[in-house]
Amino acid sequence: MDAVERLAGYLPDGLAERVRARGGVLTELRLRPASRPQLCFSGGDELLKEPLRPEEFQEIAARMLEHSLYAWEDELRQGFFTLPGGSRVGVSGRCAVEAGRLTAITYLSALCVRVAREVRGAGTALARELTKGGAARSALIVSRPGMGKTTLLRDAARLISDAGYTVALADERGELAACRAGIPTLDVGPRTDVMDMCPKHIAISHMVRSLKPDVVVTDELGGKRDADAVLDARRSGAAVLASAHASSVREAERRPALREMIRCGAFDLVALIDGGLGRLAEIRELGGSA
Amino acid sequence: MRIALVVLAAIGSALIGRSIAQGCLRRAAALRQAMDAMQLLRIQMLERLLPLHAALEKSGFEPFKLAGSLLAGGEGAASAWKKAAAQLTKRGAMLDCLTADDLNALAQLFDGLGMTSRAEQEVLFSSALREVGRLESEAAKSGAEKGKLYTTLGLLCGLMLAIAFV
Repeated sequence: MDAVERLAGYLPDGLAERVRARGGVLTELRLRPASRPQLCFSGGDELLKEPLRPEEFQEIAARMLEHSLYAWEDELRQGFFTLPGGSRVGVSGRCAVEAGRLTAITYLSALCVRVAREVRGAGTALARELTKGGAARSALIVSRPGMGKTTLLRDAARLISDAGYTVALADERGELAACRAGIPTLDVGPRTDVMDMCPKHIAISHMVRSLKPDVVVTDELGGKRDADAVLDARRSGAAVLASAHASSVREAERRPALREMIRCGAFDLVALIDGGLGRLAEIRELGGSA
Repeated sequence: MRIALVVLAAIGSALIGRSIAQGCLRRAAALRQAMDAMQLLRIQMLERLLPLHAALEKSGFEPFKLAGSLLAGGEGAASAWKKAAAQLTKRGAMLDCLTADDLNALAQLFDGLGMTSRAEQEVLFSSALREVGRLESEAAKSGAEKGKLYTTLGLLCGLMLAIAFV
């Protein structure tokens, strides 16, 4: 079952039909109580005629959360959770803040579903570069948000795994493999081990220690702890394939943790996405090793 | 022959009394099982963070498992329990021994199950466990009293029959 079909399963009949009909081009579905559902595409959007009744909105949210809000509390605090199939649901609502930190979101007032896409072949060029010469190399995928980093990362992980390398996937948000009861619902390759819904710095250290991967794959590096875990993995002999938000290498270097990783030689290559969903603009050699 | 029939009638009456007494004790046993399942459910939900339907299915208590399977089909917790309870309180079913108070206590748990934060779920569990615990001790006490009463009544009826026939 693909992400669109899974998403339609949570929706009332009329909306589900529309989502299925536009599924091929749908990038996001935005829902607000007592407002018209918004379907977004890469070239615009569509507002449906009928507003979503507040109780319908609550029912959709409850079903997406599997009637188990307690289980998603930490994710909701970060502002999103992931559906089976890998689609990410961003949320907003009334916030409870304590000591400057968001402690809870009550009264959900918006759901923004970013539809997951599995694009086979998107990572071919990158995987080829990473496996050139036998030993796996490390790479950082850089792009602005919503450009297809996750799609590219997932497909590259699948291809590297297909090529015979053992891959450890640190899937903090559950978007890369979209595991259901421990089983990936998206194809991440036959030699791939997944640790999901775990902070990536913990997952990377754990997997390097216990699974002896050739390549560690993870999404959206950002903090100091991520940098330490990536550099440790590199010193342990594993290659790292990761992504980060930035529009260029120069901009990535303005973020302290990314700058530290790049300067310490954590990555052999940097891949820039630009000009289309998951489309690689450039793969550049960085040189050096951690 | 007559004596044999009299003995059989006496034993039969005693057994009927005993069976009614067992029925009274079943309520306490069912509530004890529900309490054990609630403890397990709390661990599966709040410590292992399993989704509600999976946590219910791992609770080891048939009524909760049934509610879990209905929940997996898209029902909310309260309506899943309502449907499960309706099936299981029919005559001869597993929960037919429970009283309206017992069923209310369990329904209150399911009304709040799942859709609040972990801290609120902890409060819900402790309050439900306290209430079901109170009902269980009441059921155990009255079960023991009624158990003795019905067993004795059965024996007495048997003896009366025996005397009447002899």
